[in-house]
Amino acid sequence: MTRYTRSTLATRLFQKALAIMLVLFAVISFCNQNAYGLEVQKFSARPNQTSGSTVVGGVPTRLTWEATTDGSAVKEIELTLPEGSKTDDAKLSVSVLDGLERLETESNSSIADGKANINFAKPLEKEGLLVRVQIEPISLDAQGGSYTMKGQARLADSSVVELNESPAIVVEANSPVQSIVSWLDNQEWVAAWNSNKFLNTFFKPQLIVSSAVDLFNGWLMALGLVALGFPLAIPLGLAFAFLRMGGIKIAKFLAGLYINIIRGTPLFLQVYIAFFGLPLLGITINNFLLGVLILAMNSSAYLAEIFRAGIQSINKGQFEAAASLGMNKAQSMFYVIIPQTIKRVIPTMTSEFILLYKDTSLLSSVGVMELMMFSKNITATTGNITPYIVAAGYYLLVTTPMIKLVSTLERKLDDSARPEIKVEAETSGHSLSAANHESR
Amino acid sequence: MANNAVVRIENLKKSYGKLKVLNGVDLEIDKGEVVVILGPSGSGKSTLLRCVNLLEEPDSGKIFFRDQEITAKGVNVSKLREHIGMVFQHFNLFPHLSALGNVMLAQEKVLKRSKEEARQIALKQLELVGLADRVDHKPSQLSGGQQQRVAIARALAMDPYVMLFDEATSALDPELVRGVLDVMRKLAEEGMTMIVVTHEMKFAREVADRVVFMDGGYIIEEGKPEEVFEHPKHERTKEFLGNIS
Repeated sequence: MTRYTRSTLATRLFQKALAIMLVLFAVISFCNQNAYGLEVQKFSARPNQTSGSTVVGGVPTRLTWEATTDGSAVKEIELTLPEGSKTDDAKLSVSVLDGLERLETESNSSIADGKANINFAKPLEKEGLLVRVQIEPISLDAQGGSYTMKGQARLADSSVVELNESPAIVVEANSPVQSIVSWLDNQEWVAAWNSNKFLNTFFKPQLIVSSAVDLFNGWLMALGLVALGFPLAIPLGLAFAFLRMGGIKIAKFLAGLYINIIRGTPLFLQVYIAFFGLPLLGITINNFLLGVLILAMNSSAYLAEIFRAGIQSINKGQFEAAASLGMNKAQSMFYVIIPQTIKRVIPTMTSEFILLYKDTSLLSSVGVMELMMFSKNITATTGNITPYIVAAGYYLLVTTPMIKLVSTLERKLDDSARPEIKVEAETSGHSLSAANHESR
Repeated sequence: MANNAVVRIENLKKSYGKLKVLNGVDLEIDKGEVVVILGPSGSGKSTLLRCVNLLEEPDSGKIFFRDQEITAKGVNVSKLREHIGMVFQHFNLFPHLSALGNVMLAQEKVLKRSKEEARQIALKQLELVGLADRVDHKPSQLSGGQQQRVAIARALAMDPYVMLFDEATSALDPELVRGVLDVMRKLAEEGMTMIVVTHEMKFAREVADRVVFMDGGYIIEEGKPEEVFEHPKHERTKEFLGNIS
């Protein structure tokens, strides 16, 4: 009894184990039978923008889709292309890889109605084969968006399985600029132009177009910095000039100290001290505003010297004539000296404006998004110098007319400062030279 | 005390560092008198003139203007200068203003005359110096002689009690000198009190009531022009006049 019982128990245990295993097997094989046919691994689009790594809609690209077989005999694959794709001239190529080895497979493929169809002459039976489908050229929807590729596989036994959804690709919306760029991409003369290494590196047409647009905001930022900073520097500069020329000793000393420190150190250093020092004191100011302040402070020191030189360049006789008519110091300054000084210092002030405008570039080192910063970023991603050249263009856009203005003003000043040349020769002892030109 | 002097200078001394420019000068200028100061370069005549309206500050000595001591402390110098006209060698017109603007400016700002009044007076003064047709010209558009005449009009518009002329014709081309001297001569005839530093001997001889000869910071000799020119008493004067003529 004991023995029987024992054996019965063993048999029963065995049977139970067997049954569980059978169920497990059945489950596994059921899963197997309900095969997905292909495991989609990859879906990508080749970047089609010259200046970056992004995929832009409405511009030809190449789609790559990859999947591995699971051993069920795949006879046919039908892929649903991303909605809105244009496939007018699209060609489809299929390759099947077994490990590193490329298999010779015959297949018919077609693209129609937003679907790509691949029909294999012989079903793919082996497990682990990599099926790579490439479609080119294909333009994705110009609106941009996130896209996946869905698909079905028909097995040799005519059963149809839905394929798992591919990873998504992100497509950027197309803009007029990008269409110009892609148009340029297709031009023969552009290709010829770009085949020259020098032209390609410094004057790549596609990058000229795209950077011109990308740098625009940086240009506005640079203009904004100087448009706020310079007017702020003028009253500051005048104040320092008067303090320095005035009679109050301590004010004179402090103004001189300020002017000498600012003029004696690089603006670059001043920018670093302000941008890295203030946060350490717990003072956080908006980058743009701090930039404006630094530029204004810097420029005020130079303007102070320009104003001082301007006032001191006015002939002593003017002060004497005003005094002899009974004007006090303030009246002399206001009605006689300052009006003459303004005229004299305008060319130098304009030069100072040009310097300040160019110096906004130094703020790129501390993260102010001006021209230099933008061009640096684009150059970093493209490895091309063209964006810098475009930035140069933006600087010149402002400085060229101003430089011309300076020389016109200086010529006018020369004419009015030396009346004796125009009217008649007279020995006039005073030299009416313009204020000294400062340069950094 | 109540004498007729417009300007009275007593023992005036002035030096620039070690250089003694005025060594104790006494001089009185009466109302309506035209005094011409002669002397070689560096004799101190221009400095003396510039002390009268305190463009130069004397080191010591006293200056009285209409019986008020102007060298005293606390004198409002600007107020004093309102009525002492000065004409400079280099005109010193305000280049940013027209001839009219030059003559109007101080009238408006210092004498607080209305714009219209200042304008009328300016036009009258410019007409008197013969520049009625140049009122809107900028100094740069005028000849040196014309500029100097504008400068005279500018000073006269302030109704001065005395006019100081500091080598007013020295910077002018010879042919332009006459126009300026004519204006000065007319002014003298009208009875203006004038102190004139000049090298124009003919003008001094013909117009001056009194000629003062300076050298080395001293007044060497003074007197009526015919006395000083015809019978100079001092050796230095003789030498100077000999060299000139």
